[in-house]
Amino acid sequence: MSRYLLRRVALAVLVVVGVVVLTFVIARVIPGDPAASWAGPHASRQEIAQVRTELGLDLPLPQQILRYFSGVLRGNWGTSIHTHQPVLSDIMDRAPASIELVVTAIVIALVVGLPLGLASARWAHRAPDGLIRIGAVFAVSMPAFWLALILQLVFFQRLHVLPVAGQYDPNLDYTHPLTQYTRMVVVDSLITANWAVLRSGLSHLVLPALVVASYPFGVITRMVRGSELDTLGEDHVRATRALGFPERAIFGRFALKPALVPVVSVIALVFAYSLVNTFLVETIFDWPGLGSYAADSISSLDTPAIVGITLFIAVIYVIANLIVDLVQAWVDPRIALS
Amino acid sequence: MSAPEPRLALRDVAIDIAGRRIVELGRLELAPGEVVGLAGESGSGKSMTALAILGLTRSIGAQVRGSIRLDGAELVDASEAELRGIRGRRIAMIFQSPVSSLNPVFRVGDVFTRALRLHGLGSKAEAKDRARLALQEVLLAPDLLERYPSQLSGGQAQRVAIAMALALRSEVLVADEPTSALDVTVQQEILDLLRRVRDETGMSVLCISHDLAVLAELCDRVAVMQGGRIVETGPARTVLTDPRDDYTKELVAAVPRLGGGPA
Amino acid sequence: MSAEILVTADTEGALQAIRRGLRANRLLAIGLVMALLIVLVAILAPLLAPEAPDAVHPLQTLLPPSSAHWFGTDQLGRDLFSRVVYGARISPVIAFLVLAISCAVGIPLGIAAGYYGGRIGEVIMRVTDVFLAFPALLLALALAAVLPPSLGSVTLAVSVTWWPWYTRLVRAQAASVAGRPFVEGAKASGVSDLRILLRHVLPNSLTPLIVQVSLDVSAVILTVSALSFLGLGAQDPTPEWGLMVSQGQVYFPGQWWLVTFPGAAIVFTAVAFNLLGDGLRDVLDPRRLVTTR
Repeated sequence: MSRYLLRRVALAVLVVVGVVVLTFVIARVIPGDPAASWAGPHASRQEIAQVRTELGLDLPLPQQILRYFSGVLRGNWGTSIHTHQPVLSDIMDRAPASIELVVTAIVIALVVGLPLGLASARWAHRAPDGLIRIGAVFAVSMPAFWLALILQLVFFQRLHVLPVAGQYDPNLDYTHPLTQYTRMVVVDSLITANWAVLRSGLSHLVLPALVVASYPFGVITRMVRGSELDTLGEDHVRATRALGFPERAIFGRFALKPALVPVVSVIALVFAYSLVNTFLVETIFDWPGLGSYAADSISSLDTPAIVGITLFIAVIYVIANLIVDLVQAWVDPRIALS
Repeated sequence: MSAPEPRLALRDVAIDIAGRRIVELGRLELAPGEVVGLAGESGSGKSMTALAILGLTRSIGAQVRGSIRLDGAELVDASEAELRGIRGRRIAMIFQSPVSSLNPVFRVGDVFTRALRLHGLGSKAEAKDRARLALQEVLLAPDLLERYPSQLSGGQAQRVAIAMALALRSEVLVADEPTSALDVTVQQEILDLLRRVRDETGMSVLCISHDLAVLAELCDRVAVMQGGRIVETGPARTVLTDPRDDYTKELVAAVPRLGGGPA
Repeated sequence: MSAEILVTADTEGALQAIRRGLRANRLLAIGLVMALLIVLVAILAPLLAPEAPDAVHPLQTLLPPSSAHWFGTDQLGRDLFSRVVYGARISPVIAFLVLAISCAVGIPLGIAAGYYGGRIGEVIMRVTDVFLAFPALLLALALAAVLPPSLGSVTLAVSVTWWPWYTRLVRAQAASVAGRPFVEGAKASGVSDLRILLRHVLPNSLTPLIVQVSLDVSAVILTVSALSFLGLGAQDPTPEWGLMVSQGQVYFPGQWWLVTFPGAAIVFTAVAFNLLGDGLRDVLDPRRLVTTR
């Protein structure tokens, strides 16, 4: 078990390094001069040259990469060109809001997708199955940015029921100021018993979370259905039937548990995908998270920020994968033993 | 020898899948404590017959006609609830691939005790005791109950399946190729175990196999199937040393161990 | 096909398998019709569109949908219906380009890794592992962000993230074929590697490849439109759907049609190819589960 874990961690580190090297190399190889954009449009040739030396851009590429990684390990992720703040502190400021959004979305996707996927498998090839499958296909076919705008149109402009911008009503800052511990509004307002902000925060969370939940919902629903149907065809299910267990127990216990193993692994994938999806959604909802920071970095060609965000998400992704591996090993003993 | 009342009797059983006749059996009977072999190549309808006995053909969309009686009670038109009471409890089944026939994500003992309790054989603690005893009877360490199927060998897994039949006090055991996925030495152990179980409990065994050597060793009587029909039936020794039917002759001729010499 | 095999392979049985086949075919049929419709629209765009996609009419800006302008007009007075119709020539074509490049790179590498194995195969698979262990959308985004914004950059960026999936798929097939007796026999009797690859390895990989590619069309279209929405892809006046949504956002929700119709075109296309891919998988390769990116 511990050797298994060690191997996973080693592979994870390899993945993070590989991804950063890739992004780094491409950012450096392409035309364009980061030193010039750093120094600004009015900088002299001399100033640009000075910046180049400062940033280490005159070093050979492998050395630049080493320099970057040794900085990363010491907590220096470079300085953002558009905020002129350290990239790491920018990211730490913004990440909690995004993680709150994505976690809520995944929870919604699971709570809705799991039962629907099972219903789809239970009544496979009948009317409910058809409806659910078509719904799931639509869910994975929605461009997140478009869904965000359409939901705004329907729920805010037409129905006037839900707020569309920000994390909570800014007027509450005067009447019910929020003490920040985790920088996640719902969590902070919950632990400080700030009910006014909590109510406002939840209502602001609904629409963006629904948008981000769309893709994972579709994937989870299809996965649960397929996995359950696959499992129902396996030898051990037939053997369980031959022991006299009722269909209910077979479907809901003996087939369900092994069927969930591949579903767990897909959650890590959709978690990372959804985190990236917030890049498209957060600006639309004025959500002060990593996504809008990333969108700003992209539009201002802020290479250190882009590489930093890539690194951060790589790390998050790898951690999510590790957690999933552990959960899987716990659910399915075959994995830990192999 | 006066013929005792058959424990399990199949009469004129016909099985159709998608309008195609797969099996058409005239007559097949198991007396109490009798071991009957059902021989034939794969595709001859043996496994389908086994599933029909447990009423598991419905879940695969097959149609069964004719009569299958357990101690005189008709199973073909029994309700699903009645069949559930019979499956596992009165008619047990073991399969060709013993390890993959155990649920990979449940401890062996978990499913075992659940099955006992499902059929009303004791409280949780009693079921566990019963399961431990049954494992000892098949010469396995009771600790095996705490393990997952992937930690068992094929022979151990098959013993576990037989132990379940023992603990559930089944009257009939349907064994579908119980040894063909196992090593030769392990095969021998399982055959010895099946024989001992029959001798000690009077369980009737229907052993399905394409391996005539296995059937010759284990069975009192043998029925040979071809294309869904029984082409020859009789005492094991007679059928396998002096076959009448041409098809049986072919089968027997293909097995070097048969035809006189010790198995 | 014997009853024994039916029973051991699939307890669902023949009846249900047939019914499932029919149902899958129905989904497949719907997807196919939708996809053909898109292809038709792309081909017939000049006939279907009342105007050129870049025809500017300064006096007819931001008109709501009407009988003259079915989808309304944009901020430059361009007919939105014409632009959406011409958009069918952009995203789907980019998607096929991306998939063609990915196959052209991924398949040979997969064959090399699977058929020859050895140290080169090992290196290829480690590299693909790094790619595969990472969300494709982020990598594509990071790449597109550091490349100059254009459709070419987007095509390149998405292709770079896509090929490893095909490498892995083909490698598995090639490795399983390479170990089979008839290939060993052919090798021993001096049949050239190329011949073995063309005769045995490639045909065996074809079915899963077709399924995967058809499933990937939607994913690529969504990725490309997302990158264009962020301003990393197509540039004005190209009638790219993602870009059109992005441009219409400024006038949203007042001029709702600017966002609604191009986005609906993306959804239609993505649904079409998702249904097509799902249906093909059900029919050709029923045991595989849905994959995700």
